[in-house]
Amino acid sequence: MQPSEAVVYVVDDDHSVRQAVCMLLRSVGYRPVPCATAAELLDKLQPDAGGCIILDARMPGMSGLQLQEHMNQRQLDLPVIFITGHGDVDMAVMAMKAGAFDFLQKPFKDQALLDSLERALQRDEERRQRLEGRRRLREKLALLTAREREVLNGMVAGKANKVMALDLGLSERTVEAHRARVMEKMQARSLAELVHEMASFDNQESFP
Amino acid sequence: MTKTTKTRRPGTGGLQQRLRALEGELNGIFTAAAQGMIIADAHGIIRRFNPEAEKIFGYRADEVVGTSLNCLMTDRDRHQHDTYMQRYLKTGKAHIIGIGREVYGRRRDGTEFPLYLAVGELPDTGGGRQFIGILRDISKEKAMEAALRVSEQELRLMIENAPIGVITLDGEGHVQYANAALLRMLGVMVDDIEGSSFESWIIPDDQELFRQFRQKVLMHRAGSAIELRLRPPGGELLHVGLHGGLVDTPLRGPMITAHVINRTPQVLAEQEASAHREALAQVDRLNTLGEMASGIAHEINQPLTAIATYAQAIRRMMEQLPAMPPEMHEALEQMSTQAERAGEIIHRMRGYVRKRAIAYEATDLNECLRSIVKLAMSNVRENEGHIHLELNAGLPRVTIDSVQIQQVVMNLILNALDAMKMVAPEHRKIVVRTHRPAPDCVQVDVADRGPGLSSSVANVLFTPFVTTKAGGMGLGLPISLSIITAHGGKFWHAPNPGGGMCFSFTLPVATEAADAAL
Ligand SMILES: Nc1ncnc2c1ncn2[C@@H]1O[C@H](COP(=O)(O)OP(=O)(O)OP(=O)(O)O)[C@@H](O)[C@H]1O
Ligand SMILES: [Mg+2]
Repeated sequence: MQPSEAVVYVVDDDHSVRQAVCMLLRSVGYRPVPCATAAELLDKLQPDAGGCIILDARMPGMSGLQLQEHMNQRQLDLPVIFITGHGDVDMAVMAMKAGAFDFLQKPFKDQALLDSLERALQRDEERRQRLEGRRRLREKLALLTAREREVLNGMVAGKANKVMALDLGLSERTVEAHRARVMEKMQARSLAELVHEMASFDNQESFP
Repeated sequence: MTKTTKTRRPGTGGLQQRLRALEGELNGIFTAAAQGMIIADAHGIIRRFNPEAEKIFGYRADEVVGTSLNCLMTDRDRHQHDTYMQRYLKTGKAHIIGIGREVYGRRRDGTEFPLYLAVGELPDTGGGRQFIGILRDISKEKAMEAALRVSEQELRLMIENAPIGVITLDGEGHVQYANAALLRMLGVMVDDIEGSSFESWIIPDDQELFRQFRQKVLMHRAGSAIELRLRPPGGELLHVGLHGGLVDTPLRGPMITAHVINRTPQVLAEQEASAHREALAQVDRLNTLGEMASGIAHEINQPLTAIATYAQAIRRMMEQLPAMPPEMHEALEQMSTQAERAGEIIHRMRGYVRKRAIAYEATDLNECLRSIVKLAMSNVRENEGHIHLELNAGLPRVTIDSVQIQQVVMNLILNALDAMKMVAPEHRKIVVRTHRPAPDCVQVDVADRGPGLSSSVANVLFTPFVTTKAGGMGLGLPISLSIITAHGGKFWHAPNPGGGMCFSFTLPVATEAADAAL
């Protein structure tokens, strides 16, 4: 993802810090969205768009940590980089436990923030790609008939057509025909590609 | 005959006259004497019985004259009288004659009484040997003496068994007397202390004090009080209050008598309380410093961060311009570097202050609260407030640093007292409550009847330096929050139903105890 496409939310109750960070981000081509409070962030947040949150851990009202917990509950998975005046180890540990991507002590080096941001966005991009892939796979799987699903499962398990024909009580030709349709509907160029695609999501999601 | 007549000296009639006069005088004495007088012959037959004797014995003279002395005597004396008399007549050795002694008499009504009796022999004027007894009824004296003896004995008993120590020292400071309470206090026997120098029981540091005390009492004859530490051999150190004065005794000269009170329990309790107060003050100082550093760090870090980040942003923006003078680049670089350095210094200071020993220990929370409330009582009284404890007796032990938790409760009590300055004294009531809202935690509430939170602080409570008080630092609540968070508890506040505020916190209960409750 190019920097210009990423939305970076900057949440800090201090106007100057907020403005300075946004300026820094703009200077390298990001599109920062300033937020003065956690509530404002939740209001502006676009869950489906990619991006990252730069968050002050200590704010009146909902604190950064509470916000992180809130987002976890609502399954808002944007990576969060905490910046805080509190460089305590225990605070950092708490933030990381709560699922923070990184933890920077104020005042920070610009490069440290930008590096962290880049990694966070990259991870977010990967996450979004995985989500996208999973969504597409689910779509393709939805096109299969029940019989085709059975054949697909056999293919992924590495069974020969003959064995599948026996298992399913079909002729070998029919199995072959199903097989071709599965390859077509799954838009797979090779069996290896199909198996790989299925396997990469296998442990994360049960198929319908 | 003539001779005889001659020998009759002239003035014989005058002699007779003088004899008669003498007899008259004697009679007068005999009658008027304030002492009983009885004249008897060698056989114990009463010859004369004066009016005082009549009064003493209750007999009229005419009833007893011519009868035996026996009726005036007790049975025991009667027998002795006979033996004495026999012996005296035989040997001339007197037991009573000319000496006087206490004997018992018997009145007409049969009552016996003590009397003082002196007996003498009268010159024989031809009518046989005669004896005179002079006697005085001493039953009143005797009764008084006995009463005196009893009261002296009672006094002794009272002093001996008084619930405070009593000691008497002679002019040299040697112990003349120590009562039972003092012996018990010192854990010694009477022989260990009586005759010893009292100074030897005092620890060396206090001996000079005691010498000054003795000096003052002896020289200025003034009562005086001192606090001393005694160390009986093999015993514990005793803190005593000694209050003494001077007594001039006829036999032994000036003596110091003093009462001694064992103040050890109070002194130890005071020492403990002041150590407790000192520990709390120490923790308070460190916490305040820590929270201040933390608050300052936050406050200063914000502008520092802004400065550094602005500089970095400008530098990056200018880098994209065609010509950037290298000096400007350098200056902007330095701006951010220096801001970071300032930030580093603050973090180090904060880290240094934070490094304090936290002593977690399994603790009876109610006990911990009782002891801090006791310590807070002087503030409570000063503010004319009241504290009610509602402590749930069935709480499990909690693993806490009790001094830190006490600091939290102290902060809350002080805040409550401050808040209630605006309400009438009779409504200044604080409730400190413990209970167990869930198996895995215990809860402490500190509720007051003040006016509640001022709207200016309601949203920023727990932020350092937020205060509505002229002398407040605005650190009490932030410190308390830090402490409770470090203990793994929660801290919140809510309006107190019926008026005022209620601040509450929880402390986690060790899992076995929590499981046991399920
Ligand atoms: N029980 C209470 N009732 C009403 N207001 C309260 C109460 N407790 C605290 N406050 C408000 O919260 C503010 C902050 O309290 P905090 O204990 O943090 O600081 P402080 O008491 O002002 O100063 P200090 O540092 O001496 O404790 C107080 O100034 C007061 O306005
Ligand atoms: Mg306070």
